[in-house]
Amino acid sequence: MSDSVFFAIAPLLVVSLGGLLLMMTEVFATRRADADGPSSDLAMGTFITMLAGAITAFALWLVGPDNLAGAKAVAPYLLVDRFTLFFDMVLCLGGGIAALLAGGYLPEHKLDRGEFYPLLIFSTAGAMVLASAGDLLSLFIGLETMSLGVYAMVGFRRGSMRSTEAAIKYFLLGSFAAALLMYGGALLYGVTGKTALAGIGAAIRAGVSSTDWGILLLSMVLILAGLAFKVSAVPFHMWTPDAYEGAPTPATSFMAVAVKSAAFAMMLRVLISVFGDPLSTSWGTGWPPVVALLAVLTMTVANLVAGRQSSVKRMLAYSSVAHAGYVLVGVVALVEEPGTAQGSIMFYLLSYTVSTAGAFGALILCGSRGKEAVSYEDLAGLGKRHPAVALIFSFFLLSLAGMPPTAGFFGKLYIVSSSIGAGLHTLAVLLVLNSVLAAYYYLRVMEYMYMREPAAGAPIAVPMRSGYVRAALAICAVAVLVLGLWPTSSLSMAIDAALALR
Amino acid sequence: MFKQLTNQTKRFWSAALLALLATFLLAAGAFAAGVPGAEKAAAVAAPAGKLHVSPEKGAGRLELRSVGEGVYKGNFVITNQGTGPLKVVRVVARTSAQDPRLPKGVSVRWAGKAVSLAPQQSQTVQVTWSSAATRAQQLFGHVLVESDALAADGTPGRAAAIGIHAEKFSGPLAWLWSHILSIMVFLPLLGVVGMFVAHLMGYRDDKKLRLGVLGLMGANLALAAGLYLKFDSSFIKVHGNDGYQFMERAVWVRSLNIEYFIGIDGISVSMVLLTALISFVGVLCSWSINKQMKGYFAMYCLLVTGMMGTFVALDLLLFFVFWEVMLLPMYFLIGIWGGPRRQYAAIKFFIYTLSGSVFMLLCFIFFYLNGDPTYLVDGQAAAHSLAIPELSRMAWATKGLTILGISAVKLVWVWLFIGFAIKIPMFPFHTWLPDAHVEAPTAISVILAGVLLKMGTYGIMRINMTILPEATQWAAPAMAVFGTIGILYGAFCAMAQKDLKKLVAYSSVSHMGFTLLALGSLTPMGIEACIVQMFNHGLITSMLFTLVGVVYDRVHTRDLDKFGGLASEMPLYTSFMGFAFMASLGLPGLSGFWGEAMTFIGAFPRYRVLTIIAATGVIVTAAYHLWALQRMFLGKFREEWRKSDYLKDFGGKFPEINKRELASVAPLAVLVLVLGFYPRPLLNLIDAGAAELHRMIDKPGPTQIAQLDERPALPELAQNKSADQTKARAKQETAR
Repeated sequence: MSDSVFFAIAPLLVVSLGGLLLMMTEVFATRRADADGPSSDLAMGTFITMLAGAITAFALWLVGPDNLAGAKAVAPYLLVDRFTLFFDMVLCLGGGIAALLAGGYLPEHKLDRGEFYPLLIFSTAGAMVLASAGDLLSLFIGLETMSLGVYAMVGFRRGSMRSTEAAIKYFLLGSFAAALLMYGGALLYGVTGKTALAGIGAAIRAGVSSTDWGILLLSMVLILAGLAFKVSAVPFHMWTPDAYEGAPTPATSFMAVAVKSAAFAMMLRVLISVFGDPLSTSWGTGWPPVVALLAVLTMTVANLVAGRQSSVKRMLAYSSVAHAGYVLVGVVALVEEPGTAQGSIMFYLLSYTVSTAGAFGALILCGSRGKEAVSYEDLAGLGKRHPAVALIFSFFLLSLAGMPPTAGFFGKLYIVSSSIGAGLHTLAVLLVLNSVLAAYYYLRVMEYMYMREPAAGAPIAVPMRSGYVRAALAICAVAVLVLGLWPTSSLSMAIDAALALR
Repeated sequence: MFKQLTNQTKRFWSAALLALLATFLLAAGAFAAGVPGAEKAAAVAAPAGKLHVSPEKGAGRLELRSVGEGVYKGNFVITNQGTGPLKVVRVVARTSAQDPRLPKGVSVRWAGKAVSLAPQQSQTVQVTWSSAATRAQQLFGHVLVESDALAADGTPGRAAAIGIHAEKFSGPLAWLWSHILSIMVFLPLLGVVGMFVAHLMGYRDDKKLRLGVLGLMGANLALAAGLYLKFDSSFIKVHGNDGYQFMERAVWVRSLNIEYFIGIDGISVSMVLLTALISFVGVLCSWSINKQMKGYFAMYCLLVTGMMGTFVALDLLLFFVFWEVMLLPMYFLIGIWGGPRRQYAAIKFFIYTLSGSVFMLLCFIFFYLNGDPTYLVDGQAAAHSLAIPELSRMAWATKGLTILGISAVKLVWVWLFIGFAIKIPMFPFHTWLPDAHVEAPTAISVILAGVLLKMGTYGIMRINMTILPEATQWAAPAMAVFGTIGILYGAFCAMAQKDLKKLVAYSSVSHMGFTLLALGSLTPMGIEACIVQMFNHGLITSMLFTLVGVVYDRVHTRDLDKFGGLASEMPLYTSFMGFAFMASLGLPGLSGFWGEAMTFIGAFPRYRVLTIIAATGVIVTAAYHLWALQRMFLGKFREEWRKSDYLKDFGGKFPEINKRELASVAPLAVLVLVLGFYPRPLLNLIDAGAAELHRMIDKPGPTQIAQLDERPALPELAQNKSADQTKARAKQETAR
């Protein structure tokens, strides 16, 4: 059995099979009119599926991907290495938390239709394929599988114009980005005659003619642009705030954590295995200056704009853009310090996943049907009315702001440390200055919750009650605290998972 | 049948998934057990010895046990875990005349000059500490084992280390003494937990909760008193442990070599005592807080933990964590319980401090990445370290590092300095302070002025000066100049204030200017003056803010022009206020005098002009204090107060200072008086630490007035890091 292909891709199989099973149950279950909606059992089911996926990935990690003979059969379409397994765990975590959040959110806001959960699961499965893809074809399949599910989830609130607009916007721009990626891939194939990432990389390293180099540069730019769309880096971030705001919050949370993590996995894999040659990684002729520029723009613009928002959800959307900027700083550091930089990126994505999912979850918990928490004013005085909710929200915001002792602090510390180690002092300085900017708008939420009273007659948010959401928040809070106090083991896992550059 | 399906489905498919899960887990387990790969890889290499050291019992650090008469013994085992022979070349405790890491009296007994070990063979080594020869109460150190083993990359001469540890404290309180700093840091956290539990349980007896917090801080104060008695004030570097006492050290985050490393020396002990005292007084000052009282005290306790931790942390990252932990409660304390513009003041405070501290963090990372290899406390080799004593041993100036073309040492010094200067607050970075003080509730003003401002100066001494002595010499004149500007600027601003609290706030800017001028002089007297000034300013300003709070509580205004003639209304209050003002303006006989006088004595030889300019600041200081006193207490009482709403409950008369308020001011006043006439107890604590710091950063020269520490053991002090001595040594060698 140990040589079986099925064993090697078990996490993916577990998640996909779980999704199929869930879909069947949903189809064949009939409910009494007075019974709870489909969320009542599907949410837990989805969570268990994701948990199973994560645990299987962890089991494979313990076994060691080198010992999986079956993995060779799916290579290079699906690469099973520690990198993949680490991302499998992060993605399943993000998906699982989103499922729990949906379990509370959908019934509360009368959106309780069962399709959400299979969509979520198949999206996650697509993201997992994306993280493990070692070939342009599988990469594209993974990307589309992931994206299609998310498009549908964004437009899940069918009656709402805003949601529909967000979905259309996201769909159009997302397809556009995918087309850019595809085109870049096609050019790569044209130059090297290969579709496997490692093969393309080897062909580039072996040397290409100067005409071909021009085409390669074009494809690099196209692929970078496509990737930047997916990680929502400035100036390709325009869709983010609208899509994030219009989508039901659990879907937003999923997009902010899982989709972004998967996109970064893809970015790392492509940059390292395809454009990892000395010419492409040089500051004169390669991607580092482009990514550095993206990073600076992303951090600065997103933080400045986030400070001006009046909607908390939109602020969180911009904050997630800003976080992509921080990660991009780590991506630039890849050139000089491949091991630690990748480790820091992956640890960052892990800590970002739990903090962001927690923050969106807390935002969900802050509101109830008709009394949603949207603007800062809605949250005024929440600290007095509902101290527990305000406390947990503040906790996740502090982690996003990078205050010790939370996961966000060590995440930022590792990124800064790896960028200074790589000699990127300017980027490091800009990063920390940006984190001061960011502290301002995270604190503003707390200011409203704790230091202001709602204006007379103004709408106020009334927290909802949901065991699912609370469970999700508890998971996130524990993770944030554990990663903030004892980050050693997860960091060393992240470093073990680093791909070899060159 | 279908109606039942919801539940059935649920059960069915959770069971299915769990089964699936279990299958995979089982398979994985079975597979992992039978995996042939892992060992195979290791066996490929050529036979070579592999050095391994571990305690005879257990793992990690070697704990030495007492065998009576002050002798501590422990055994550890050197094992050859490799496949080939291994020759142990040297086993040595890391101690020598040049090395202040270990206390005297540590010896190592092993089989001989060189021992060959066959694979899996082992050799026991006995470590002995005869503690009678040393003043040290604790032993933290390493034993090095060197062998001819090859590292994985083929480099020869692999060494391994094992951490050794012993505690000399005995008696029933031994455990308390060896963990006293941790207890003092984390005891206030009990208050946070207590308030949280009280909130969950809906406990409403505010008075008891307040008393509980008071008890907690009282316990901390008692511990501080114990610490004062037990502190060995003449314990310095040559006695081992890098001159630190009450150390605790353990690995916290192994992947970044971050240690839980705390301890105190002559520089920090006075700050720890001050923190304990002021946080106790602060509880008394917050007695009248009724709004969200549990939250207030929870934040207050967290704040105390952060402050205490900052003063005892000896690992840079631990320092940073405590520094940031202190930031957040302060934000809430000002922002929720403050005055009318509290949100503005709170966020300004937060952003200012945070922008300073992120640069600090960058500098810490710089230290980390460019540091030399060393060992963690348990003996694990570490390529980098964040421990302050380790970093201060490294020769940063000679590394020739640059950042963006600028000398890294200078740049890092300046960045660090800005981070701390914001906290002090130094002249151009001071604007947050008046805002924060005016809006903060009384107790928080007390804490802010009494303790928080000292963190800045303390950080400069602990980090800038000890790690980067050469850059400190380079920047010292600038420090002195900014200090002098601060003295005058603060004093003039104070004179222009109408708000009594703002006046006291600006007087803080002025008084903290003295600490910078004193530090900038780099003389032993100057450094001592800095600490004395920090301590005394802590006492006096706390007293002032408490007293300002008293009058504000009564009439909700602090406008000097609205008062007048209060002396006849509140004679006792007036006398306390006069006392505090006199102390603040530096009247001889009160403790405020010593800081200023010593500053001038310390700084004069180096900066004659600056000192003279600064001395004129004293005149301005006297002027604004006396003028304020005159406006508020002398002259005619304004009769319109009689009819004001505030005094209606008191029969149209200003109520005298009450017993609780007296209780919060009296201990401070007594200390100010005692230390004013007899400052020896304070100076005794500080002397050795200041001299030690001076020894690190400055060479003895003609400008030096007093050699504070004339121990005969001078040869042992050759560890001076000053560039001149290195040069002198190099000259000698070339002469030879």
